[in-house]
Amino acid sequence: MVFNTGAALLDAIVLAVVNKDPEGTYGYKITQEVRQVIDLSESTLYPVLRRLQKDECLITFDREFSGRNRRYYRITEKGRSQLNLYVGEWYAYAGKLDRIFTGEAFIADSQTGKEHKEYAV
Amino acid sequence: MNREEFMARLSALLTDIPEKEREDAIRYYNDYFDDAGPNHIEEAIESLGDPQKVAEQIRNETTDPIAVTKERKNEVSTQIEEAPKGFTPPPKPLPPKKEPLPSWAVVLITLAVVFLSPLILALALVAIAIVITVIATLIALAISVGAVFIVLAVAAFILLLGGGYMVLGTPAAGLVVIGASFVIIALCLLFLCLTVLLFGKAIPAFFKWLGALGKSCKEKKAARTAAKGGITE
Repeated sequence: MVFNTGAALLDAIVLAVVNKDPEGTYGYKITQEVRQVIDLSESTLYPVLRRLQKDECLITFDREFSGRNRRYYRITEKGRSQLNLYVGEWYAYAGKLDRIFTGEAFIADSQTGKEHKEYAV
Repeated sequence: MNREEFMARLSALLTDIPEKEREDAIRYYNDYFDDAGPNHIEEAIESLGDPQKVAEQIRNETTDPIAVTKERKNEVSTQIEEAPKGFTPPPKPLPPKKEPLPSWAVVLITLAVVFLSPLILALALVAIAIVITVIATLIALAISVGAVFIVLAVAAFILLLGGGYMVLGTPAAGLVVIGASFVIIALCLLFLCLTVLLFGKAIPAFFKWLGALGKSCKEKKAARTAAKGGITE
């Protein structure tokens, strides 16, 4: 992908992925799902999970899976509210970019010569 | 590099971080390879790359919270310059203090106050006197209007009684007197309205206006001092 993914956006994506599984999900699966959306090196994910865990956005627990204990991650209440915050911010940001990219106001200007109406930033 | 080699390298590279952090990371990557399964393990190891790099990322996240928070702050506000690890920003310089007035200005101001004080005092007294006069006039007016109302009411009452009595003897004169009493009652009601208007509306309105005047003066003063503060900061 041509665009960089900053730490906040990465946190948001990881939280969203973990949030999809109310029963909890595990590192490899999270990595694969995140990698379907953004291009990131597999080693990047552990530090993110660890940080989110320290920030109490995620909790870990162990559950048996085919004869071994697998570590699972589950989103916390705090993590969910953090995710909501990120999602809200994202839509606000994406909306602004849409307006810039579609250039509605500019087209109206050049074609009709009218003053462009609202171009809220 | 196979899985065992990778894990051994990683474990060796993480000896300098807290035991719990190291165990956690080792646990994660063991799980990771288990979950990748025999079909994808080669791919996973290759994609993870150099254990050195993996270890560095873990160390950055787990042992240097300052660096992490710095990085995240930079993201929020791009204006903050990138700071080296462990860097603490210097304390903000104190806002410059208000320069004390030069002594000649102090002398001039003192002289002006001393010489102009009678004038200022006189003007203040005049203003207060005007206000008091207006209030007194309004109240006097209200009271006199009220008094006229009372007098008229009493007169109307007497005329009505007298007229009623006279009707029995000389009906024509009695009716005239009763008619006059009705006229006076009308006037009396007019003055009642005036009294109510003066006491209920005019006087409170004047006080309200005075209050608003005082408030706007205060606000202007506050705005002026705020503007001054803005310049000196």
